[in-house]
Amino acid sequence: MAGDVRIAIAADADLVRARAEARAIALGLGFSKTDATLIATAISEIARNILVHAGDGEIVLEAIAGDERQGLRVVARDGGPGIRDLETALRDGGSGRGGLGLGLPGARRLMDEFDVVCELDSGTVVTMTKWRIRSSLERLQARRSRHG
Amino acid sequence: MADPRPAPADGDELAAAYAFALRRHARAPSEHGLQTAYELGRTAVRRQHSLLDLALAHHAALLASLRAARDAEHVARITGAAADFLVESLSAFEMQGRGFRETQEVASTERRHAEMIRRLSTFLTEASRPDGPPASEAEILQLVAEQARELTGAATCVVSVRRPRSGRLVRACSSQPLPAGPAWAASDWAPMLAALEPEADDVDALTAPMPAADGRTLGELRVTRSAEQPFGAVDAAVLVHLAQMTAAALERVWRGAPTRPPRAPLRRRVKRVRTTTPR
Repeated sequence: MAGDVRIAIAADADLVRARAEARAIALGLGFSKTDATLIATAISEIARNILVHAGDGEIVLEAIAGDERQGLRVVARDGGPGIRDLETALRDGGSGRGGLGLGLPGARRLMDEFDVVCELDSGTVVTMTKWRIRSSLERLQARRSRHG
Repeated sequence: MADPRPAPADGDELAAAYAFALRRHARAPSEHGLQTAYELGRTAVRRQHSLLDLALAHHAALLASLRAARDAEHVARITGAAADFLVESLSAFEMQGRGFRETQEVASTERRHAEMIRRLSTFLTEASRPDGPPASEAEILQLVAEQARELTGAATCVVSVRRPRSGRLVRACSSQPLPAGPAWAASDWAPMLAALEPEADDVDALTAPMPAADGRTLGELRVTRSAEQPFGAVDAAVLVHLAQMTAAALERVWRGAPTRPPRAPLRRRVKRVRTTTPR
């Protein structure tokens, strides 16, 4: 899609850029500052995983505009070793760090939709989306602008 | 007794790092500054600092930053940047809080499930005792259908058994109440119909066979709900457990049924024995 923003993740500085781009898109879509912060936090967790487990990868941000709702979809891709036990990894404490609710399970709880597809020795793709319901006034304005 | 206070050095370290980062962010707000705030919050969570530690660190750091303010406009800029910084540092605590609430909900659901299974088990045991109050096969099947539907969060549950002697098929069904409204959509009926129809695309179904003691299958428990909310491994385990409990209870009922005496049978028989026994 032409509107996608693609950010290569290979260092901490890239993580900051991904957060900034996501925050800007989220605020542009009408998300609250709180929701924009939650999205940035989820991106930090996922990008950190890319850096720690795969070394590098990319994050793609896509704004989704619908009549009833708008969303920001984040796709994080890497070519790392994959996740051996996905079910455990999505559970608190699955990373062996004491179950503090951070990492993959933490990111999952901050977003509305969360999917992980991984193939051993081929990489991992995390797709997560945050939605915002449009008010009736917004919907009316959008329809009017479409019809000129 | 364990000392509940955090180690002073740790608290001081957090406060110093927070003050340094907030001062820098207040001077020139940036995404990098917010990322630092998030990392500080994350570290605080990992080191098991209290939210109160962070609140105190924020207050002290804000106060220190405000001392450098030149005028009211500058104060507004500093407090605005500090608010963003605080929200970002709290996001890791938000993530942890959501995890805690989710864990509590899961634990509460598991406790409720355990209690329901315990009560159902007691009922099935009581209902199938030959010397207990009589419970019909239909009552057992209906109760199991209702409990299985509730325990698995299904839209519909159908319990089917074939009587061992007559071979007659007996069924009980439990369905969630249909939504109120002027007309029901076809999709409202789908889970119910699918409970009876083995193949359907838009519903998810789970079936557990009822194993008899000799290895035969007495019947099955089948639950269905919308394919958008598929059943999980816990639902499958609960259904298998219920199927086993139900099979055992039905076997006891069927074994006892032809010879089930009326109430207080043991006493009467004892009396008869006494009167007929020669001295």
